[in-house]
Amino acid sequence: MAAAERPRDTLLRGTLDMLILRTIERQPLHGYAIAQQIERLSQEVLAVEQGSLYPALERLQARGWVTGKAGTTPTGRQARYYTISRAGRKQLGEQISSFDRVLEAIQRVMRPAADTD
Amino acid sequence: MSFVDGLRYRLQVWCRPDKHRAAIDAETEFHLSLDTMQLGDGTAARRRFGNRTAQRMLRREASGAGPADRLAQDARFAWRQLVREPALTLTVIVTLALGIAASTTMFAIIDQVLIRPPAGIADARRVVQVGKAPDGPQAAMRGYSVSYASYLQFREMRDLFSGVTAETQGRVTINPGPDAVRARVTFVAEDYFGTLGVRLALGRTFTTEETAPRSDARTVIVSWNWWRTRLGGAPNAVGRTINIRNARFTVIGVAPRHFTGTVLADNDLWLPLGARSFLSFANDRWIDDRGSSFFRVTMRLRPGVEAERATAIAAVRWSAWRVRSGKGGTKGSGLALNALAPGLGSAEPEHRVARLLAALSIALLLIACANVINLLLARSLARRREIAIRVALGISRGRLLRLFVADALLLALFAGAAALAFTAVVVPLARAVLFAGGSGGEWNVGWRLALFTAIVAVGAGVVVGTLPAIVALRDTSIAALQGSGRGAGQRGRRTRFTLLVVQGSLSVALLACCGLFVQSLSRINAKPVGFDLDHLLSVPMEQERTSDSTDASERMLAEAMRRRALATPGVEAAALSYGEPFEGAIGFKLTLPNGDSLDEEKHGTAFVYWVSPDYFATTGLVIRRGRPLSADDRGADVAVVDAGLAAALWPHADPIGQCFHVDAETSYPTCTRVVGVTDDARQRQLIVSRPQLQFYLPLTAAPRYLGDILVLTVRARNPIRIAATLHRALQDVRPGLPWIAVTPFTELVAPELRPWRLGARVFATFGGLALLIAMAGIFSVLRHTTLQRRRELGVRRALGAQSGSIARLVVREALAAALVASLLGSIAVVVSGRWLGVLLFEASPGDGAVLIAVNLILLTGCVVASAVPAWRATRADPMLALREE
Repeated sequence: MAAAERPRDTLLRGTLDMLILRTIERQPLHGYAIAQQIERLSQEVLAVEQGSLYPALERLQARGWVTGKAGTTPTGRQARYYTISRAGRKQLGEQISSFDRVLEAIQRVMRPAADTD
Repeated sequence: MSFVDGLRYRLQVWCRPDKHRAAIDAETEFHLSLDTMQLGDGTAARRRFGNRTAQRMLRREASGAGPADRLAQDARFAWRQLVREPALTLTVIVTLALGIAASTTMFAIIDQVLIRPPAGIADARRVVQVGKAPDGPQAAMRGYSVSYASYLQFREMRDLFSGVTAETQGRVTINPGPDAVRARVTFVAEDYFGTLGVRLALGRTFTTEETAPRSDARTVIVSWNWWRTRLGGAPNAVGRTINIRNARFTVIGVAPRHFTGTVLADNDLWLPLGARSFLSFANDRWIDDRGSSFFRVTMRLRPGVEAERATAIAAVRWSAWRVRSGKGGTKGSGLALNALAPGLGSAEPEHRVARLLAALSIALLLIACANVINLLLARSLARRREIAIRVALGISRGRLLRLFVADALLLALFAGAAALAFTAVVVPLARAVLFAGGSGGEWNVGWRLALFTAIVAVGAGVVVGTLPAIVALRDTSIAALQGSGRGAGQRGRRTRFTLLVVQGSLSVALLACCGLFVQSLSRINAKPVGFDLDHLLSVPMEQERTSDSTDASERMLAEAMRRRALATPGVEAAALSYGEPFEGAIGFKLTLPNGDSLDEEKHGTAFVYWVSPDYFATTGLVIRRGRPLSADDRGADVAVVDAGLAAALWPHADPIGQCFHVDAETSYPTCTRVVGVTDDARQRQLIVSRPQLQFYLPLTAAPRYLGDILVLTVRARNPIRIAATLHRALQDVRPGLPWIAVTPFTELVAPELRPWRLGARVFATFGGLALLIAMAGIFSVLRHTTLQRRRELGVRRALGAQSGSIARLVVREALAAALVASLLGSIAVVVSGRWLGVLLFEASPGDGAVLIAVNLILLTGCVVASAVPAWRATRADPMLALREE
């Protein structure tokens, strides 16, 4: 997702939120690490730029799905670590199911015409 | 749960923006350092990151703190504007503060006097007072005094009212002696405090026995102010005694703060009804006499009963009773139950003046706003360049508008705070101006006033900021960017002109009202009083009522006093009469031999004074026809009437020799013959809208029950100088006399005239302020216009124009505005004649003199205000102006 002056459409914004929540589901990470993780796991297809990442993190904190706290990196540096909250987990579950529904719907539309018979 | 966490984060971000920004910066640094490590190149990392300021702003927006940031930015911008031009800022704040203060002062007064019921009464909307139903255009008296017997009738209506009580006012002398004080008292019937729902601050209320009509209880409840000032605010004040007319009254309670009764007038003490027989009029005739109607009845509606229904039922029952008991008639046909607060529509003169002042204060506010708009317009024109650059850089219209409004709001808020402080000082002063006879202790001007001030200030700020913004937004030419003066003269010219016209016409209207008021006042003062106010002293004879005093011995004492007064040096004449001037008088029903009676609806009641023969000579009342009363006239068979009464009773006949009957006592003859006619005299009240009818009977014909309202009137060349000597002489007439108070007449009328005198000053101040503000507006506008037109004027001068024509150019705009304003303002004044009624004492708004004078003043002010800018314009060096480009 390229950085834009403001989020282009809700689908993309909601998807980014979902990706972030999933990334920190297992363990708290700092912002840079979140971006790296998404890039790595998607095999470099998805590149999150800081122009989208950090505003998204602010949004998530403002809605109480993520909490940010100061922490120490393995190399001993100070950084802000983001943890998913319980409400965040619930939200993640809902977003995953709705994303799956949308994805399936898109696939149904895009399938070749012959297959619909 | 998540909502709360999110809220907490958002609050943190809002309240500690600096901490948030620091965290953002730290995170950015961290990010950049990692990126640098990854890319191996710091510059590339920074480039990839992008604009840090923009990123920070995006993050703040995403966390919801955007609006707060913008607000802080606007406030900082506004503050910078303020500080940059302190003179302009100060002018704007002071101007706005004056306008706001005038409005809020009048609001405080109107609120307290007309809208809010008297303080201290519980659930005041359920409390009503007996009044007269208004019929016809004559403004009816709100309060309607009834007899004690009538009060008892209302008390029987238990199905309508859960509490009924009655009261009557009076004055008594406290501590007769050198430290004597006249106190205002209210005599109250049973359950007075209970009906009103008033809880005393200390002590207890009167018992039913104490308020019985024939009780001789000597108990008193003091007002809060009395308790604080004369009893030291001591907690053990209950049980102490007060000397009222040499009798000891025990204090049994203290009224709560701010409570003054059912009317908005100072009251010092509450006494039980029975004490009235002892203290005033010295008799208990009032209990049974149906003609003694001076009680005001107040009642509390029973829950579930509405005022209209109660009025209808009570009116029917009351008139049925009156017919049954033989007192039915046209008088008092309409009964009304009035709410305690006079209401905005009240027709009493003081209230109408208050309403008019409120309208005028709004006009003053509008003038102030117009002026401030002009000032701000001028300032924004001077900043064309800065604003044009902002517009060119893409600021949205909304944002620009918000900037201007924020600026104006900040100014308005300062002005509002100043106005509030000013109002707190001015309201008591204004009260004294408008309400002479005391106005109910202190008022609590509290949060209602602050709220009103805030609303007015914010409204003014928005109005004042929007107009310059709109004008500035339209100004986006290249010339604006260059900051040159080209084209600026035309920008906003129409707006400026309109504003000047608005200011000018409002000023004309304001000044005209002031002029009319002052004119009315001088007419009132010029009217002859009828007697020589400046040469008379009044000595009321409050006599001790002991068991063996008789009427004859009192008259002998009075005569002895009169002779002693005559013997005092400096005294020219002395006479006795029943009736204290400017206090109370007694009216009676008059009937003619053919059965007609005086139409009291049309003319008012006829008041009587029983006077000794030399009364007319002493007071200076001129006998126009016939003769004065002589020593031979002993009974009520002869009378002297005043011109007004004569005209009312015998409009087409010679009054001398005519007969009329005075329904005062059964012993009075059927025919009282008129032997003389005097000029109209204003003995009850100085300022009245219709003449009072009076007639005079011989002193010896006075009924027994009149008691001690015997007054000695003394004529002297210099009353104030001999007052002390006279007092000493009279006090010595007999040992053990109660305190003799000697008061020059001029002092008696002072309270009545004071509000009108001070009112004239207030109106004059309003008018003066309006003119000053308008002139300041013209001055500043012309100054800026001239600056803008420097180039044009320079060219003209270079081409050879004379100083005179340059000056004329400058003044023309102002004069044009002033002329239009004069016209509009004058039309407004003439058209609004109906509402100006209270100001017009025998005058009409189309009265030429005032309007002409006002318009001349405005035009002169305009010329004066434009003098300096015009002079400056002629001094402008054409070379400087031409080179400016």
